[in-house]
Amino acid sequence: MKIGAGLIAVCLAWNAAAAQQRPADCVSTPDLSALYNAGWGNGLHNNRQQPYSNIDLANVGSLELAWVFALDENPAPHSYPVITADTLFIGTPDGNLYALDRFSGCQRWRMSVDEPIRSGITYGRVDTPEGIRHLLFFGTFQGNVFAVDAGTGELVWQADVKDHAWAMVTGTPSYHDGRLYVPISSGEVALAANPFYGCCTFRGALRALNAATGALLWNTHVIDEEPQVTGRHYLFVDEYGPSGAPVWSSPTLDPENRRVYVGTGENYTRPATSRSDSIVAFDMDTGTILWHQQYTAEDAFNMACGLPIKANCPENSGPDLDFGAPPILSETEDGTPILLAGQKSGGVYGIDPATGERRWQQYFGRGGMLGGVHWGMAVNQQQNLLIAPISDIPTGKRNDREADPGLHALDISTGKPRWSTPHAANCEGREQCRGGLSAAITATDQLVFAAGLDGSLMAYDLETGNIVWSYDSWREFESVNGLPANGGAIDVHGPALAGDYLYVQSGYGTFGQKGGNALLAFRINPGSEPGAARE
Amino acid sequence: MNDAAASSVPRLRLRRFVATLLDLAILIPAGLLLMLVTGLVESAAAWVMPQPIIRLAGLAVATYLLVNGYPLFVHGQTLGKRIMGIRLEQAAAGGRLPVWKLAWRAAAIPAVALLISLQLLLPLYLLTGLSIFLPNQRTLQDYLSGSRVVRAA
Repeated sequence: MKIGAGLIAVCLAWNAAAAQQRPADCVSTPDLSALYNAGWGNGLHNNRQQPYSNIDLANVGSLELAWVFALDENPAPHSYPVITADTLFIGTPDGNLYALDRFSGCQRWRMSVDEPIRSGITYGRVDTPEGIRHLLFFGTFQGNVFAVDAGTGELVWQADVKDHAWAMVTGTPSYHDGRLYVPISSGEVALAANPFYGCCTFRGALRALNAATGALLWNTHVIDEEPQVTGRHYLFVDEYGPSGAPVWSSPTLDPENRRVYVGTGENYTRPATSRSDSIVAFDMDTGTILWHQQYTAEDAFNMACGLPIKANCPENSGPDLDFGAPPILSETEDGTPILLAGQKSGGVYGIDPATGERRWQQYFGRGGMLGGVHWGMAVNQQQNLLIAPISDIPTGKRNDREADPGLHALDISTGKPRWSTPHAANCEGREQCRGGLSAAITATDQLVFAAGLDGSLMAYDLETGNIVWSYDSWREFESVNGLPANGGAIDVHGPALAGDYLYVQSGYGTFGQKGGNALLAFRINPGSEPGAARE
Repeated sequence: MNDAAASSVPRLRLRRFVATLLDLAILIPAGLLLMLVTGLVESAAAWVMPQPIIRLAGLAVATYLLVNGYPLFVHGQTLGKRIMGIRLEQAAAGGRLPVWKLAWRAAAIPAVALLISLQLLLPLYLLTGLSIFLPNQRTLQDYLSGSRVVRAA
């Protein structure tokens, strides 16, 4: 009897301990009545300007860590949130899509897919045969696109959008008026490192899907020609071309003129084509390519070029200067539309969105395979300001220019520099630490938020470029869901803003950088939103 | 096997060891050649899981059958054994091993090891291989298939 009682006591104690470790849940339906952020670019134009942030010059100094959520275990989270009135939706490379209470980090619901979620999340209010539905869309490493009910987490449809075994969706799909525009990139650039692989047959593409059903509406390859055998190595291994020109980033939509703009990557093999490392405009309705403007010609490169066995490396390999960041559709001071594009070369360009003609260009730093401009720039339309984060990690082919990692602001109308703030890397005593600003940035009316590969998170005064707040995320955190949470390099999609809050993922364990899994939420104090008031 | 019987077994340890090394040295380039000629891993689809495992395992089996299996069946010798002047025969009756015994001899250990764990394959092979240093010079494979290695005439 005593033994039985003892066992029960042990079980109860065990359960109590387990309960403490259990993720904090607050099972409930998200409030979808208001949207802070419906996709990667804070709007169709990918301008990354957040007008609905309460964080300003006066209160930014009071930003403090509110909660931390551990994004599962994979140390290279690659998603970007949709943020509504009370909920933040974010994916993980372990295949989970979370709906979190954005004030506390507790979990409203979670749904899972059997593949790594690779893109940011996009929201669409979609007219379906069953009525209006609030859907979340995301792409995966396996080249699938999923649509999920934002209220319940129920899977609505799944579409395989690849026509190549190694195609994937890394750029966040863009939604407008019942259609989803999906950028297609690929991992074939890395597969080419295998000397026995017949490189390369992938061609970058843009696809339009019916957002209600996932049905394909149109599909346009960036390169028109089908790859053909161009040579052979090891007597038997065929080589193919043209190939490459992946679309890495979120398409920029211009519904007024019925155009979609994307940036493309390098060719994987020769012959090089005229649409690699380019800005390309598509007809929104048909997918026809309207114009393209190339910024680096003859750039044929793949991962074999960095290895001792270069069987698949193209002859006279190029510098690998993709457009990893999507173009921004903006306006000059006099209201003239302008497309703003940043390249891994460090080149920033002002482009006529109707013709593709280059209006101005400006270069920052030395550029390289990991930027230059790597993931994304931001604008502040009121101040006619374009802000470009420069990474300048010493990679790729050398050139004559000096590295200049940091944040650089330009005049949208003319491309003339306004201010530059160098980034002083905080890497002393830290392994896998690099300087430079690689992640995409986000602007408000008065501030711009940027993050470093050294784990630093900073707010800059938009007028002067002065750093007005900073935080070091290169550390361990206690998470609200009970899992170990680690910060590291901040890369990829960068900060997101909503009301009193600033959200960012710390840790990105690729390219030799320090991984992590921490979703950090900061809040101004005292705040005006419910989360702050609860304190 | 008693001491007298053990002493009647010819000492072939070095020959067997060298023959094994020679067979390995032939198998690896032969496998590579087969891979190149067939284009087995040339396509993008070949590198999407679980295709690499299936194809490379298939390649390993095909290479073994072509390079070792067929000559063993026909002559009781792999190329390595032929060079080293030894051959495989039925332990009890002498003579050529039937196909099923050859297959069993080749596949028994990997099959068992795979069932336990793929990670155990190499240590298990090494362990059973060491049994040729016992007095009767027969490996576990030999016992399982009723074979032994003798000097070629």
